[in-house]
Amino acid sequence: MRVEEYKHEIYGCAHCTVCRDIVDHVRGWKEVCPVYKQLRFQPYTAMGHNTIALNIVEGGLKYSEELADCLYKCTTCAACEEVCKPLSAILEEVGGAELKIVLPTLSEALGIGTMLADPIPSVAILKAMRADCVDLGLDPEPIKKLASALERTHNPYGEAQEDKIKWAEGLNIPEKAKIVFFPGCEPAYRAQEIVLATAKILKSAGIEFAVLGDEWCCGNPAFDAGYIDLGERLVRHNVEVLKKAGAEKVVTTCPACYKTLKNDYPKIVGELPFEVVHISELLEDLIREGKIKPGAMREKITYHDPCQLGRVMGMYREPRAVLNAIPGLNLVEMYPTRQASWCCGAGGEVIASNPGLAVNIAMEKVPLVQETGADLLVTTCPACKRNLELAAKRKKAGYKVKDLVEVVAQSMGL
Amino acid sequence: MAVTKKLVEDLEGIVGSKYVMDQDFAQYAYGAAGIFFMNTMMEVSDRSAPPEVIVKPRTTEEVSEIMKLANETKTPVTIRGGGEGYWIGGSKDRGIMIDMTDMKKFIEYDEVSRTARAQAGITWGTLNEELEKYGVGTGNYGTHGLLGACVAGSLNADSPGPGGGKYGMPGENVTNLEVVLPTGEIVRTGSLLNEESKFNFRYCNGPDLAGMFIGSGGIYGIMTEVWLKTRPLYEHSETVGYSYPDFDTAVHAVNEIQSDGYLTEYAVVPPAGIVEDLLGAMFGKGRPLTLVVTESHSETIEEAQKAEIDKIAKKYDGRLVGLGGLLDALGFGLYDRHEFLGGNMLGLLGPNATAAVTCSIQPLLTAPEVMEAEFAVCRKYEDSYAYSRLLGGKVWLGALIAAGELGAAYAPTVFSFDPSNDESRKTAYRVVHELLEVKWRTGYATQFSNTREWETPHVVRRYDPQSLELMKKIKETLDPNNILNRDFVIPTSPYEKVDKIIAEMESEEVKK
Repeated sequence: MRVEEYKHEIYGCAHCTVCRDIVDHVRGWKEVCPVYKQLRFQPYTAMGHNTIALNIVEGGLKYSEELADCLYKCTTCAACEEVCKPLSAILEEVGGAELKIVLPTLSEALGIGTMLADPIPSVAILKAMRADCVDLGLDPEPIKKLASALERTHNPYGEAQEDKIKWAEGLNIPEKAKIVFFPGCEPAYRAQEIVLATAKILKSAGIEFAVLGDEWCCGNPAFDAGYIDLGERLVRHNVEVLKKAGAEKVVTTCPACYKTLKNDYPKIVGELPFEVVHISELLEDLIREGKIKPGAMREKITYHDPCQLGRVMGMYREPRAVLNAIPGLNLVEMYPTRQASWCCGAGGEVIASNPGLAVNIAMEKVPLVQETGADLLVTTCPACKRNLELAAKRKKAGYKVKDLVEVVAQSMGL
Repeated sequence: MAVTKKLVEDLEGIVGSKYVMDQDFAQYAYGAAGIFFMNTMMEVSDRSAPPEVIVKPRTTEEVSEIMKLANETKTPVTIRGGGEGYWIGGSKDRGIMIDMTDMKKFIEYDEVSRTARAQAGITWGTLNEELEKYGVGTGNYGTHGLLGACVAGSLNADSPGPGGGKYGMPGENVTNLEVVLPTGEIVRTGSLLNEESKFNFRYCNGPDLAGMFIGSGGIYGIMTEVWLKTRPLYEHSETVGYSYPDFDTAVHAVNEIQSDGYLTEYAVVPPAGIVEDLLGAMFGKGRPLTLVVTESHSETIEEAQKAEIDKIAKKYDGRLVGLGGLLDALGFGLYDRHEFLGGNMLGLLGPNATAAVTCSIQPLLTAPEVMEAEFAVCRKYEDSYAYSRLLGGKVWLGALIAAGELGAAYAPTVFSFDPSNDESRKTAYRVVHELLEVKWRTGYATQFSNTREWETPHVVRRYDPQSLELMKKIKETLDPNNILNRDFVIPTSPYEKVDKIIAEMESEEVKK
């Protein structure tokens, strides 16, 4: 069983409850697990998952369809891991993020062993259990359908591959260039306003970039769903086509694609021959270099941190820097925000397996947005955008939801 | 009686199907509680079985109905609060588990009585978040300061918390309780015995009924609402650190500072175990570290308190150290109502090493003598402890923190073990019980008397028969079917493994 690989980490969980629903305003936390907030039972929390994992490893509990159903309700938002690192927080406050990074080497050099301060990898433990469920054929039907679509069509929607770049028709975008725009499945098939805005901005900045007709799903949905082998096949294909396209830099707008390409691809294929950047990083550079000049927008906005971009990849500053560079835009933070930001509910394939749960989680954010008085909620993730938009409609919230690139394109009059 | 499908349906009829779970994975997820690694020290076959059904009531009436149903069907019931506690999960007879975490409403702040009223499953964090709006807090901030613990869980376990040095134990801050008895009747205590009362006060209208439930491990009833004293939030609070020539001098200095009313919380860390070299390098060999927290409304008073503390410290040859200020600056002070460092640290020893903890209440002044006996046990097994990659060594240490106002100290002793290694687990189980036995021989007291496999086997050996009989009689009267938190505090079965360890300890001592 794959979960056995995490035996030591599972035993390390102190079950201290902070990953469930702590209130800690000093560090900006107000409740933690978005799924627990909805479903209110221990098995839906990280500490519950870790107890379940322990009982599986020790042999008391067997995987079942019911258990699989429970495991596929987690949005993998990683708030549990973020809150589970007080020592990391101390180290970072004392010596910055660098201290944490050099600590293992430093302690080894001092002859006192390898000092680590990592949190319990609760998301990885959960994903290992999901993969076990897949191996046993216990994953829920919507997940099986998702995997089948990925297998057949290389996107989660079962859409035709040739339709993936339909949005680019007439835009004259080549298939080979040093910079490759990797839109990802959701923007390409379901949120074309995001890819179009991105393409317009890049063109306006004079960047020569390619999009690939043979781009497959980045693999993230497969890894999230526990289909590891399938995910790896998608990864290897994409690496090959990116190499053939001559990519030196790959730009993504989707945080899940960004995280998968940047973090997971090297683990599977080794060092990548290209750099991976998120659009918010690139936009910040383009603004700083004067290659794009956002015009004034008189709006009060707030920003939702996508979990994969924020907590997982640590990118909080860049999207805010881009928004703050737009003259007249008044960015008001929600509470909680950044590391403690509430998940939108769409992650971890919950949007596929439990869409009702996903939108209920998203609806919890509506009052947080309303408290800021913002007219516009900005995010930089197509899945977050879709789910937050749905929640705002259901609650008749009265604000709009847009992707960062749409806001930038609008400010540039594109 | 085993839980039947009909019973599950009846429970769903009381609380709604959304608030009942009986799947096997849910049972297992509730089969371990907070200080979970204590559970992993036991053989799987010795651990408590997970509950058969978990139910989440939201009102006192629902709790009452559940208990009436459980009595009709003679089904065991175990209560669970935040799940951060020291005990092991469900009843050995399985049955129903009542998860109290949806009984979490803050009801009101009463400016007349200066009390907070809330449902008993509220966490210390949420309660204090609400109270901050009125400029007050609970003084003692609950178990470990983790703020994930429920108020009633802390009260049931006699658990300490930050602020004990000035405000006493959480139980001492209770004015009134609403309790559902094991048979389902609802009672209120203190001033609320008078149905017309609009004033919250504990010691009135006859015996202190609240006191019977506090620390009871939930065997006499289920707390559903709590009324707690509140304290003003002080603008000025600081942690000051001193090192002293030896452990005994350190506790005398802290005791004097506490007696004079200058501190809210303290910690004394003796130079033993994993911290011995570290403290030696920082302050000189053999010098323990003490941290005391002061607070006040006025900067002038705060400065004056610090000056008095300094005077006392100097009298005991104390040397001022900057560590307290550093912790405050980092937001990890000893007395921080938002602090969540406490218990979480225990799990941070790293892969292959987790912590076993034993706790007791000791008079501060004689704590060094007791702890030296504990340290002798720790040293005896030193080679068997797990290597912590975090701390870079095999871990054991002890410390003292404030427990109550009267010079009592809460004394956790900690050592590391590898729960994934059978030999390490077995040794750890033995060390825990040797430590507990050493503590108990000194005549000291336990919190967490509801822990069954840990504290209870040692406690029951020393209860005087009349007191134990009285506790049993109250239990029989209130819970004629013996369904609520069965085996807590008053055991019904012998603890053969623990008895064997104690017998072996005694035999070794005779040989010596």
